[in-house]
Amino acid sequence: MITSHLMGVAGKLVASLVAVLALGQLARWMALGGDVRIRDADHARMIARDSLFGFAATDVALDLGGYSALVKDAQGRHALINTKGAHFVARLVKPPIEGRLDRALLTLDLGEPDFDPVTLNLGEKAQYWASGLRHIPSELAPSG
Amino acid sequence: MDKLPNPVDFAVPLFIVLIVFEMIWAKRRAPEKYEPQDTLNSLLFGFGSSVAGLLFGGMLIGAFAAVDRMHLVAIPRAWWSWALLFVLDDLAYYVFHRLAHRVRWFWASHVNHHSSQHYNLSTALRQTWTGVFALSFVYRLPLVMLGFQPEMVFFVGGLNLIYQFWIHTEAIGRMPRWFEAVMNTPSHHRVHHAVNPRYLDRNYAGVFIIWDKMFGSFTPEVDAEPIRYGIVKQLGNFNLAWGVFHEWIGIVRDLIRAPFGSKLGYLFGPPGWSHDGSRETSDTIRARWVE
Repeated sequence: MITSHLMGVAGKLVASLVAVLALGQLARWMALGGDVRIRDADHARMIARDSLFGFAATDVALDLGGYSALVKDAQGRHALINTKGAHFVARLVKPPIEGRLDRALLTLDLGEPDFDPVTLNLGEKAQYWASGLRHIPSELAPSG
Repeated sequence: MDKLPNPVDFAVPLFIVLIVFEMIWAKRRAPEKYEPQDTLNSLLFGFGSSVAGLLFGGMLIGAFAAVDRMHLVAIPRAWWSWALLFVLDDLAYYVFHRLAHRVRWFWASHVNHHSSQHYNLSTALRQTWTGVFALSFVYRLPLVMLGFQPEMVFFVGGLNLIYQFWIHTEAIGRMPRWFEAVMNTPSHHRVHHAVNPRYLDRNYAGVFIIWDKMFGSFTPEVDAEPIRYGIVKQLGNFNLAWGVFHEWIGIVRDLIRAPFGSKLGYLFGPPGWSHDGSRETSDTIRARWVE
């Protein structure tokens, strides 16, 4: 009796897992999600404003592929925008920052477990923005 | 006493068919409404929630049985008791759901349901793995204490969950006015899943939207303002384990770091509360927006 009950439960779980994987694969096969990119500087400003609830970007550096962007506001605060599937995620850049500049490529690691390091192709602007990141207001450093 | 089936078991095949239909709709009208990895994650949340239910189900049954022994009156199974239970269960759900958004300990579990930036039928199945730690079963115990049989309460809870499935969609605009006035609908629930300051922490209803209207938490959807879904600090990637446990991990970190007198605030305060005011809650975000 107990064995047949357990077999029934296990069967249901296996069937559920198969359905889950099949639906996930179907979404992939149907190419859902599309190809979402940051269109231009205004789009980056809008993403920063919406994601960070009022962040008013005055300066924008777009990744040449449109996958990510760095924005700065009048107070010198920087925010990093990255694509996540069909949407975007933004984070305030707070010291200490782990960054690497390789000609046009600026790689930033914000040290957050769910925010993978981002490499932006900023072309000629890379050096300028890398320099700006060294002067982020210290009050943005995480407290205690 | 007759054992009642779990109605959700019967609804799952329908859930799958409707998700496929909605995917076809998205493919034709708006491919960005679905995203493969997001969909897979949402469904894995649902699968994991089922597994958690099996692991901790015995504990729940034990709690319900213990309370059942102290019930105030014996309520029979009759048409009126089913109807009464359905309404009272939905009221209890409203209270629990409101608390789940306003108390971080409860939010740590419920955040899983809100952590997708998409809003489609797969989001409905994005259920928590850690509901038992957040005591999300407790709100139904008063119904058992009152005298409703635990089997009836479980059954009606299943019906409530099934109702809430179809409202997780952007494929339906508005329902007829009389329906929108009384019932929870896709439009009302889109507001609930939104992070636009206007919509934060609104529309907690399960089945009947009247609770929000009665208790002052109702906000209608405004067509002119596109909805952004998810949570105030969106998850940065699709890491499933982080998605499941991130708020619990955040609580533990805050409890370790916080000054002694502030620790309880990080447990029972609203999500986003901090002892030094360095973070934002829904209330502070909305207050800034109103200015």
